[in-house]
Amino acid sequence: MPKTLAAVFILAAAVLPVSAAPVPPTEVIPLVPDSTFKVEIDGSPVPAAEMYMVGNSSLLILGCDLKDPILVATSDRTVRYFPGQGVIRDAEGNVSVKGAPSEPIGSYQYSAGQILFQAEGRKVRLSPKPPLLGPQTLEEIIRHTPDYGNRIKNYKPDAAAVAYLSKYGRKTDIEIYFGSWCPHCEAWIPRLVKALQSAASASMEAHFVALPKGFASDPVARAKGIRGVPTVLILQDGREVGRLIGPPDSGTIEAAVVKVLQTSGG
Amino acid sequence: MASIARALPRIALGLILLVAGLLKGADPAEFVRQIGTYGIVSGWAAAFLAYLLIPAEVALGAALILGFRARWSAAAGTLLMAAFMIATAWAWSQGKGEGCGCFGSLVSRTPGEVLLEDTAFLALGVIAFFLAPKGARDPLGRWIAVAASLVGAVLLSVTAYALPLDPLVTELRVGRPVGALPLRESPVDLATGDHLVALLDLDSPGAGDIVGALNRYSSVPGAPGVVAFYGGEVDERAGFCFNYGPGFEVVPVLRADLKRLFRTLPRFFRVREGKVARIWDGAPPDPGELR
Repeated sequence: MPKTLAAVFILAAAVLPVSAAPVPPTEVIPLVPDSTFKVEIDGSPVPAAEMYMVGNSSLLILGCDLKDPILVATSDRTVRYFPGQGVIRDAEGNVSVKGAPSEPIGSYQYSAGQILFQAEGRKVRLSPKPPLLGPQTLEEIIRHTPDYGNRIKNYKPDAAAVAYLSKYGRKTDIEIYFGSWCPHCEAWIPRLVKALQSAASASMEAHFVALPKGFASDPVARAKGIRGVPTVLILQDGREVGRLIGPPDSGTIEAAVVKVLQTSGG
Repeated sequence: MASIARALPRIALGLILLVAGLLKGADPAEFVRQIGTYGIVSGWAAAFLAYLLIPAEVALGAALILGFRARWSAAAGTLLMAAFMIATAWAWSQGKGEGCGCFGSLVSRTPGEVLLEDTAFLALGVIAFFLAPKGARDPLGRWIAVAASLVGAVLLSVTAYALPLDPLVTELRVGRPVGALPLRESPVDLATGDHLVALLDLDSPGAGDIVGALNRYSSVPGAPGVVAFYGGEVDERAGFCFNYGPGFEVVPVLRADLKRLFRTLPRFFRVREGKVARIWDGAPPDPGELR
């Protein structure tokens, strides 16, 4: 067995010792960015820290000013080092790992939404990242929740809808109300963004408004009548011509936007 | 012929109330939750109101269909519709909603749609009232039928979860292709292979025991791959994973979609080659059942 493959088996065994799924016979494990937490070490924030999901629920922390990246393994509640040279970043920014983690260097505690552990004699705290609030640019959203960027990149939009949107000439504002805490927004908004980007229509402009949890009393949500997220408002000449409340019952979100534009007389 | 035409609005409103009441009676906890989302009452008061409204709606529906005290029933039906309209309008005015991924009745319709539908039902009630015969006597059979519907609705709502109503109320049935299940955003391909799907409430007190049982399947020869669906927010998933260490995927799905698959959680179903092969309620299957 090649040495690298053996290492992958060891990593997978450390991260997924109870997984029912067999360990994938691959040398490289691709990681998914995670934006649930922010990192503090000895009470000081570490803004450069990046976090990635490994396997089903373990967390790899990069850039946190420790000897090596840290693996928080949920299967046995341990904290381990992961060798820095085993972290691979490709030209598109995707991160994968290859290699095996160290023996446990400690265990973590999970309490009141926070993960606490010690590494190199320093207190590491992972606490929930504050949600985005108010108007946001796409760049700000991706900076907060990098998975939006991944999903935009990987989504293949409905070609017919993109063709329609690209030829649509009437000035249209698309207001997207979402929660950075809402997994369904993370699933659906990147698809609409990718469709709009692919259409590259000069007449269409997307605006993003992040709402807090429990937004019933939020003045913006109340003013716009937002009662669930994601909600997409489609406006022409400042007038709402349609809204999508949640994902469409069938078909793609971009096709649903096209349907609104078609029925609005565009 | 004319008397049938005069009875039609009354019977139509009766059917609407009867069916709506029976559906609520089959899953009263969901009706309690829905009342809570309106923000008028909550907790025990929402439960009390739900268990009061269900038999009232069913009995009123039966009374309208049978023509029992036709004018009074039509008036009561109209008042009930008006009450629903006022509650909905109040909830809308207060900006009440269901948050992320729920899209229940308060969220998924625009104010115009709600108003149009409720106005139509209200109009049916008003027409039924004016067309109802005055002073007609009701035979004993009608009294008995309406009383039976009232008692039946009370019994239904109290015993609902002990009755085998899931195949009628939910869309999860053995033999159903997974493509026909209401899962708009499942990132897991269930169309091929062998999967055990767990529908979970990540905050439930028994979640840790369920994870332990599901994790142990990895050592069962021939056991399916496990995936858990939940209808919540990002934080809930993090808490669940870091507390219990699931060795399987934990995937958010729209609560509106999830709700169409269960009356009570947890619920488990096995998918083989794209079809629902078996369903378990309340606890994960015994490992022996998965071989």
